[in-house]
Amino acid sequence: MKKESVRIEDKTDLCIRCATCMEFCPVLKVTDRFPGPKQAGPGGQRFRGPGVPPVDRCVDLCIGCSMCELVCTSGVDIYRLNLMAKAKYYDEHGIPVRDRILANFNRWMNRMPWITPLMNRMSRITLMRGILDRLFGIDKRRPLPDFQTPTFRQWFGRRAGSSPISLEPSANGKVGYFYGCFTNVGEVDVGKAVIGVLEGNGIQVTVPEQDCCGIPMLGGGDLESARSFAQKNLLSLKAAIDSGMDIVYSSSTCGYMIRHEYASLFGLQGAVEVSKKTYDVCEYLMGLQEKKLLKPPSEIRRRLVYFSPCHVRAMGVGLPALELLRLIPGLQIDLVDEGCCGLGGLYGFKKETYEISMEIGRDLAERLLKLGPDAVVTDCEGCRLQIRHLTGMKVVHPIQVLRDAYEA
Amino acid sequence: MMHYDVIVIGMGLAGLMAAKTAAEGGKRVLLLGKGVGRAHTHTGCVDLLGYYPPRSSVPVENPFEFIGRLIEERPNHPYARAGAPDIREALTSFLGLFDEGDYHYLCREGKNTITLTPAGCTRATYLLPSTMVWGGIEDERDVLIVGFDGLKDFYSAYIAHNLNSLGKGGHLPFTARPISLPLSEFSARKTAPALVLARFFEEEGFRDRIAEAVRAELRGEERVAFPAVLGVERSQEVKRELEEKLGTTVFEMPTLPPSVPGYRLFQAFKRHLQRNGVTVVMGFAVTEAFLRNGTCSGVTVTCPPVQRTYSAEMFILATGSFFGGGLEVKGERGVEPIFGLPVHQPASRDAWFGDRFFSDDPHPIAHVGIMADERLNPIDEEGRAVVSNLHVAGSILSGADPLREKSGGGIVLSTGYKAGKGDFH
Repeated sequence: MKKESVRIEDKTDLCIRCATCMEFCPVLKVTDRFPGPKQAGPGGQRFRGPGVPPVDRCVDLCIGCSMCELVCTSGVDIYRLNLMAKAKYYDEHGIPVRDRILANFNRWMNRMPWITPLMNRMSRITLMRGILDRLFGIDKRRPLPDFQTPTFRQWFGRRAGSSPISLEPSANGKVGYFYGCFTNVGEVDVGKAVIGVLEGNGIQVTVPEQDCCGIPMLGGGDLESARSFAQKNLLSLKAAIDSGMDIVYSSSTCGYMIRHEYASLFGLQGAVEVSKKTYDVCEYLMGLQEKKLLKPPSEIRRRLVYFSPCHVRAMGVGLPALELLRLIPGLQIDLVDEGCCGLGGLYGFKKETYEISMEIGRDLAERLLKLGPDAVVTDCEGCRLQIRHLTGMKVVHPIQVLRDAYEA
Repeated sequence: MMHYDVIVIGMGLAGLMAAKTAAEGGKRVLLLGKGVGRAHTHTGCVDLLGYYPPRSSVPVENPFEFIGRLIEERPNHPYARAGAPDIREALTSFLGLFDEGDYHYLCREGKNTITLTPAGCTRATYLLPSTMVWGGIEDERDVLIVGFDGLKDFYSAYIAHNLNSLGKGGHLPFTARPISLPLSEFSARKTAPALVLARFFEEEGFRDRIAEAVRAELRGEERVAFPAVLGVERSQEVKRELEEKLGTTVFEMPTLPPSVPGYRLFQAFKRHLQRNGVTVVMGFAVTEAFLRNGTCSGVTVTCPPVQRTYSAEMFILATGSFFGGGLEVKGERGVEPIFGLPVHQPASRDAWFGDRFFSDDPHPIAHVGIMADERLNPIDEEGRAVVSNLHVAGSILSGADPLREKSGGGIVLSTGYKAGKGDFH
C-alpha cells in the first residue's frame, strides 16, 4: 500500500493491530496516560467522524515524532491521524493563549531583535519564570534559549558583497538558504557555518524572504496559522527556485515542514515544486560529493556521537549528516539512531508535559553520557536544546563540524 | 540520482541479512523498507527445520540431516535454492552479530531444542537467545511461570494449564505453576507493553522488588520462567542478576507480538548495518521499478509529496509474503506489486484454502509466492528468468510450508545470505 501524496484519506482500516508502533512510541514508554499510537490513532479514529464530539484529550500527549507512522508496515498514517484529531479538538475548544504565545515566541524575537536583550534578562529572573509558570503554564525548570544579536540575517546583510572565503562563487550553483527562526536569533553560528561551507564550495548563497515555517503552530493543532505561514513562505521560495536556485535548510524541523507538510497536509499550490528543489544542507553537500565536487575536509581529531532527529528519519533520505561527517579524516563517530530526545518542540516547554519530555530523554542522556564523546552532533535545534539541558554536554550542528574541518 | 551497488527492498530478517552480507562483501548498499519489518512479530528464536516431512508429528532431532533429504526431495524448496553450504554459512554469519559474553544466540550441538510457547504448547526450534536456553522440555525441573497483571501479551495461568495438560499425557517431564504479579505494586503504571516492562527490568530497584516477590512465591521450583521482557540492551545481565537473587535458573519465554527479542534482533542488525556504511531508509514504499530488456535499472520510493529514484547494479527483493506486504491480493489474484513478478498460485481463489481450518494438509495459499532459480532470480511458470539482476529472498519465495516445517527463520536467513553474497557462479 502506498503512503500516497494526497491529503487526509482514511487508512484506519489498514491497521492489522500488530502493535509494532507501540514498541516505538516514546510517550507510551514513559506514561500510561497516553494509550499509545495504535489506540489513539486508528483505534480512536472510529470515534472521530464529522460532528462526533471528541472522546478524550489524550491525543494532546502525542509528541509528534512520527515514528509510529514510519515503522508501520501496513501503511497506516498514524501520526497524521493524531495530528488531525488534535486539530479537531482545538477547533472545537479553542487554542489556549499559552500555546499561541509559545508557538509565536521565536517568531516574535525574529521580528523584533531589539527586544531580545530584555527578554534574555527577564528569563533569568526567577520571579519572572515563576509568573510564566503559574499564569501561562510554561514550565520554569525548562531553560529558555539565550537570544543573540546581531541576528543571522543582520550579520548576513552587513557582510553582503564581501564574501570572506570563496573559490569561484556560483561555480557550483546558487542556493537560497532557509535558516529558520531559531538559527536567526538562537544559534547564529550555525547560519554562519552554513554560509562558510557552501561558499567555500563555490556555491553562491542568498537568503530569501522568510517567516516561521509554521511547524510550532502545527504541533499545537493550529492548522490555520500554520497554513498561512506556509503560503507566505512558498511565495518567496518558489520565486527563488524560478530564478534558478535550489533551497537548502539547516534545521531539519523547518525542512520537514517545507518539504513534506506544505504539500501533503495543505496541498498548497507550488508546494510540490518547492519540495522537489529543497534539500537538507548535508544532503546537498553529499550530492556534490556524489559528483566528486565537494571540497575535501582536513583532518580533525575528535570523538563525536551523531544523534538522528525524528524529522531527519521522517525525511526518507537516510542520514546525510552522518555520511558527510564520515568524510572527515580523523573523526571517530558513534551513531545513535533510535529513541527520541523528548523535547517535541513546545511539548517540552509546557508545564503538563515537561516531566514526560524529560523522562523520554533519560534513555538517550544515559547512553550519551556513557559514550562520553567530545561533542554530540545533531541537525535539530530542539534536540540540541534538550540534550544540553539533559546532559550539559556540548551539542553542535553537523555543518559546524565540517566548517571546523575546513578551517583546520 | 543516488547510485548503489546493491539495493535491498524489505527490512525483515531476509532483507537485513542480505544487506549485512552485501555490505560485508564491500558493496555500497541501500536498504529500503516500507515499515520496520516483521522482526518485531518474531519470537526471537530461529527455526531451521522442526518437522519433516511437514506432516510429521515427531520433531526432527538433527535438522541438517533432514535438510539434505528435503533438498533432494523438493527441488523447488527455498532450501534447495540456497543449498546446504550457504545455509550453514548464513547461520554462522548470523551468530557473529552478537558478542558471546553478552546477549547472544546459540544452538544445542547442532540439534533442535523443544521450547515452550506462550500458548503453553511445545515447538522445535534451532537457534535460541541465550536468555531462553533453560526453557527446553528435556529439563525435568519444575517451572514457576511469572506473569504480570498489566502485561496483556502473556498469561501465565493459561500457559501453565496447557503445559500441565501436556504433562498429564506424558509429554512433559515437569509441572508448571503460574503466578501473576500486579504491575501497579511495583511501578507507577497499571499496564505496560512488553518493551516498557523490559526497560523497567533494567532498573535495579524494580528488578530487586520483583525478585523478592517471586522468591516469596517459590515452592521448591528450580526454574523460573519470565515473559521475554528481561531488559532491552542488557538482557544477559538482567537474567544473571535475577538468577543470583532467586537462587534458581531463570529463562525467558516468547510473548505474543510485538516481541522484545524481535526488537533486540532488529536493533542488533540495524546497528551493524549502519556501522558498515549501509544507508537505511525506513517508512516509505517502493512504488515503481524501471525494467528494460529483462534488467532493472532503478526503483522509485514515494516519499510524499515527491518520488525519489535510486539506481543500482543489483536488486534484492525481500518484501515478505502477504503478512509483510510483499504480496497483495488484487481481486482474484495474488500479485507482487513492485516488479509485477509472476506469482505461483492456484488457478482460482476458491482453491486457496482447504475445507477444514485445522487440516493435516497445508492450505494451498501457504505455497503461493515467487518462484526462483538457483541464482534466486525470479522465474515464470516455464522456468525462464524474468529479471536478470534481481534476486528474491525470504518468505516471498514459494515452495515451502514454513508454518508446519518450522523452517521460516532458516529460509529467510539463508536466502537473504545467498542473495546478499551475490556470488552465483
